[in-house]
Order: sequence, then C-alpha cells, then structure tokens
Amino acid sequence: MTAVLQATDLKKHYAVTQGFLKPKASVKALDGVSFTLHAAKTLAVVGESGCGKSTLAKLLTLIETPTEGGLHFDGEFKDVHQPAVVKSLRRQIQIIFQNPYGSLNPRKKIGSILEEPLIINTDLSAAERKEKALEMLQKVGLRPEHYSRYPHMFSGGQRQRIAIARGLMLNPKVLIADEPVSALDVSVQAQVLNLLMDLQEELKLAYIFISHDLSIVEHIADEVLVMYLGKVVEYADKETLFTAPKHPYTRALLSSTPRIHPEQRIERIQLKGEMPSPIDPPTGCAFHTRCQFVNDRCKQETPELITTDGAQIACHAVQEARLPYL
Amino acid sequence: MSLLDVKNLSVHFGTGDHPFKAVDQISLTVEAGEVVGIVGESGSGKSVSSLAVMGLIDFPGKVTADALAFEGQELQTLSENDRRKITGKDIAMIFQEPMSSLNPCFTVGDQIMEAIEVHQGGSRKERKAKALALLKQVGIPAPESRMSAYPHQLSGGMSQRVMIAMAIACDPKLLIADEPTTALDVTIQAQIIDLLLDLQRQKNMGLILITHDLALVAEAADRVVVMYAGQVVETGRVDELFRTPMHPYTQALLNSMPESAIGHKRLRALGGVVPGANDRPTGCLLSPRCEYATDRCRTEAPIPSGPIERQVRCFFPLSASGSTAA
Repeated sequence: MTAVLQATDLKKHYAVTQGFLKPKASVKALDGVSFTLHAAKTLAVVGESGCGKSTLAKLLTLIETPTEGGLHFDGEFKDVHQPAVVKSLRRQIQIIFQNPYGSLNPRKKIGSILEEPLIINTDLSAAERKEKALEMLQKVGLRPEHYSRYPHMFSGGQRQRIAIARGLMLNPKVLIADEPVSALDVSVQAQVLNLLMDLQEELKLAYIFISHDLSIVEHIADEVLVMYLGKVVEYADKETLFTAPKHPYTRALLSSTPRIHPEQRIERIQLKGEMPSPIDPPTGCAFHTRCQFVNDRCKQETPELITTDGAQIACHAVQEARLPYL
Repeated sequence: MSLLDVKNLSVHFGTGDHPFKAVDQISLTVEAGEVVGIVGESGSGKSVSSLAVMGLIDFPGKVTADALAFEGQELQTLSENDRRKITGKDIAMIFQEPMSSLNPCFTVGDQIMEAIEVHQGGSRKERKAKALALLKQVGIPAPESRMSAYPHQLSGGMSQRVMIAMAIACDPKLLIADEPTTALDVTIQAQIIDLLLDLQRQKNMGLILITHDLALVAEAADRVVVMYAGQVVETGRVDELFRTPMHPYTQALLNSMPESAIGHKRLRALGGVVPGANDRPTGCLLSPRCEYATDRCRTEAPIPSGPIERQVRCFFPLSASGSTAA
C-alpha cells in the first residue's frame, strides 16, 4: 500500500494582537499533527469546533503555509515554501467545503465554474474543456443540461455534487472534504455520501474527511484522527476506535453521539464545560480541565502520542492503566 | 384536557391565485410533562407550525385551525393583547441559532430581566435576583459576572443556555424548542439536551422538540410526529415508531442513516428532495420518491388513519416486517 500523503509534525501558529502596546500572543491553532494517508482510503478527522480541523484542511491544500513541519506527497518530500511546488501540489490536493450555498459563485454558470480550474491549470481548448465538464457532470449524477444553469437553480444536495465535480476536474489524488454533508438533510446526506464512496472506488481517491458526526465517520472512514485543541489525542483505525475507544475525550465524544437504537447507546459521559481558548491553553494535558480521570501529572506534563494496543494515544491515564474498561 | 390541543392547523402563504400550504391540516396534542418530538427534513413545515402555535406568523401568512387550544382555552379567538399574555409566559420558545436570536446591543441580564418585567413585573432588584437565579439554574459558570456580558462574549453553548433561561423565566407550562442544538458541537448538544430534559422533569413542562436529527428525538422524546412537505405522515410512541415504522417515509429516513447501514458499504438513500412550493405532486406527496408507490398513490391523497396514538398517512402502511400490504 502506497502512502499518497504524509504529514509530519504540522504546526500552524497565528500571531494575534491583544491590545495596544501589549505584546502579540501566539495562537497554536495546530500544534504537531502527523498522519499517513493511503490511496483509496479515507482518513476522518473529528473534534469539536476550534480543535484545528479546518486549519489542518487549509494547510494540506496550501491555502495557508505551515509554520513548521513537512509534507510528503507520493513518497517525495515537498518544500511548501517554493511557489512551483505549491502550484503542483494544489492540483493534486483538492477540497470541497461545508456550505454549498456559499462555495459556488452565484454569478457563474455551472459550466464555467467547472472549467475554471482547467483554464488556470491546463492548456486545453474550449471544446475539450466543455467535454471534460460534461463528463464530470455525468459522473457526479447530474445531467448535461445543467451545464448552462446557475447555482441558485439547484438544491443543496445538487450543489454539493457540483462542488465535488469542481474538486475532481483536475484528477487530484487527494480530496479533502470539510464537513461535506453537515448542511444537508438526512436523505440527501446519504445520497452525497454514496456518491463520495462510489467516486473513491472508481478513481482510487484518498479522502481526508473532516466531520463532527461520528455516525457518519463510522460509516465512511478507514482511519480516524481525534483532535483536541490543535493536538492529536487518538489516532487509530476505525474498528479499534469504535469498538475500544481509549482516550477519555474519544469516549466522551462517542457517548454524546445520539443513537436511534437503544441497544447501541452507551452510558453518557458528561463533559463539564467547554473547550478552553487556544490563546491561553491549559498546562499539561490540554484536556485535563474537562477530564474525569485527571491527576497531578496530567496538570503539569503534556502527554506524548504513544502507540498502545494498535492505536496512538496521548493520555497519561491510558499509559498508567488508570482507566476503567468500557 | 390536554395542555396543547391542535386540530387541523393549516398555514397558507402566497397570493389568492397561488396559495401555498406550508402546513397542511396538522393535528397535535401535548400533555403536561410530555416530550413530543417533531422530525422532518427542511421544508417539511416543522418550524412554521410551531410559529403558528406561538402566534408569530405575520401577514401574508394565514393561519387557520379547527382548534388551537391551550389548557382548554381557544387561542384564535383571543385578542392580540390577551394572547400575548399567554405566549412568552405559559408557552415559551427557544430558537435554532442562539447567536442570532439574542439582541447584540443589550447585556444578557437586561434581556432576561425584560422577559420577567413584561410578564411578572416586580422591582428592578427582584428582577435582577430572579435573573441571576435563572442563570445559575441553567448552569452558567460565574453568573454574577455573566449578567453584564454581551452576547458576543458568549460561546454558542452559553448563548443557548441564556436563551433557555429567558424561556423558562416565567415558568412556562409548554416549551417549544426549535432545533435547539443544531448549531452546537455534540458534547455541548448532550449538555443542552440533558439540561432541557432536567428542567422539563422538574417543572413538569410539556416540551415540543423540533429537530431533523432522528437519533436525538429517539433519545429524548416520548412521542414522535414525523412531518413531510407540510403534512404529518406518522405519529407514535418513540420506541414503536423507530422499531417498526409504518410510513415508507419514516422507514426511508431511518434507512438513510449511517447507523442503519453498519456492515454495508452503501447507504440506502432516498432519491430526490422534498417538493417545493411549485412542484407539489398530486396524490400522496411522497409518491414520486416512494419505492412502494402505486397508481392510486399518484392520483389520490391519503388521509391519516389508524388508532389515535399511532396514525399513518398512507394507503399501504408497512407491516412489522417492513413491507407493504400492496
């Protein structure tokens, strides 16, 4: 199995002004994230708002440049500070956004939305571009007559199909989906998820699937990365994570996800309070302010990501075997 | 006598030539101490029907009903002023987006005190003490300092707690929560739902929980009302309805959830979208999307049938094994 995309210790720190004459503070939006993504596989990134999921998407698509850390694409190290490298990577790593009502230009017809990436990145003729756009429309389940319509004439699910088509126009190897179905209704959500899975099989796409809905993640992902305050707290394959979640935060997330069938419900672990501000993160383990298994070590020492039972976990309580089994 | 008794409530929008029924003859009862869930996709009329109960539908919207009674008192014949004494006091509502339902120009304390002033009066000092007690009750940390906070200084979960404090300020007998957790993270969603259910039990309130999240309703509600394109298609007790859905739409919604497809690659999606104002089909409104539809479904509109506690609007309701009689 070949790794398509490999991230090593990615960091993004933003400088924020705190007020006149005060020194600038640094927000660690992303603080050391590493993962390996294989062809035709899906890596899901989960966590609450503010945990750095979308910052990760911005770094991987090179909308933002990482403060530290490196990217390997197809086994080759890529220097993200060189414009030529950035340009070639952007063709290979595409993104679809959360809200299809905001991500499509209302003044452009679907045809020109789909052809724009080709105009910028290739030297195809107008006729060839149109042919490619029509082919792609069909691939995502739309009809040729949609080519000359405007975005407002489509429903949310159809718009998300258009966004997916645009993302695939340059035949990328990696598609980053930032909450692609959270703005859609349940029945439409299932249609779009099915489309994403079909396309993955057909085109051997690798997905980075950012979501906060664990029941969707359970369905679509191969591996799961759980993030909290810019750091990875648990990184495991899907079966391990959903059958034996270890990190207290992962357990709390799973237990908070509502389930239809009573037999699938697990005892609710109620998290106190909210995620702390990344401007002023807690000392030690970032999760210790909300964790029920906290002790003095957690408050002082930041846990490292250590492989335990086939999963990478950053938690003192897990290493010290202080956690009760589920 | 039921707390709320709605019979054949309809809401029309549009002009005389082109009337559009956003809500079509829905009937609903809520008892004291009962949690009723209303589920449906966007455009199914969930929010409009609750706004109609609150008396918040403005011109050109037109509300008609055979009965709209709160504690036996008919609301439609009341004068504006008399009705306003009930809504906001005995019937309160929580809206979907806490961030935009709070007034950005006033402090949290002022906004809660306003609700108390309108319905209960009292001196400023008494109102302040009451507001503080409410903030404590909904679990806001450091309520004294939060009294003078503006909405932009609060997180989404905190704002929703403030909205709940405002809604329960006058000890309502019926609380309508319209997608109270849609904009929130799962862990915060669990906190807010637990808070709502605690308050509901303490005060023996009737609670109408409107949401598109079937799993949330399955966990929180006693009875469920499923809506589609302005009509109630199925009602029943929560465990029965989710275990043995009788309407094809309920079945399709449940099937399209990732939870129901564990072990399968593809989700069983329901094709198409909810019909809009101008493309309502003749006959059963679900017929173009229904896999069991017959010629009768396409020409004739079904009416709700079955015992009062388990009504279905379908000619061929599903049996317990999940197939139709046709």
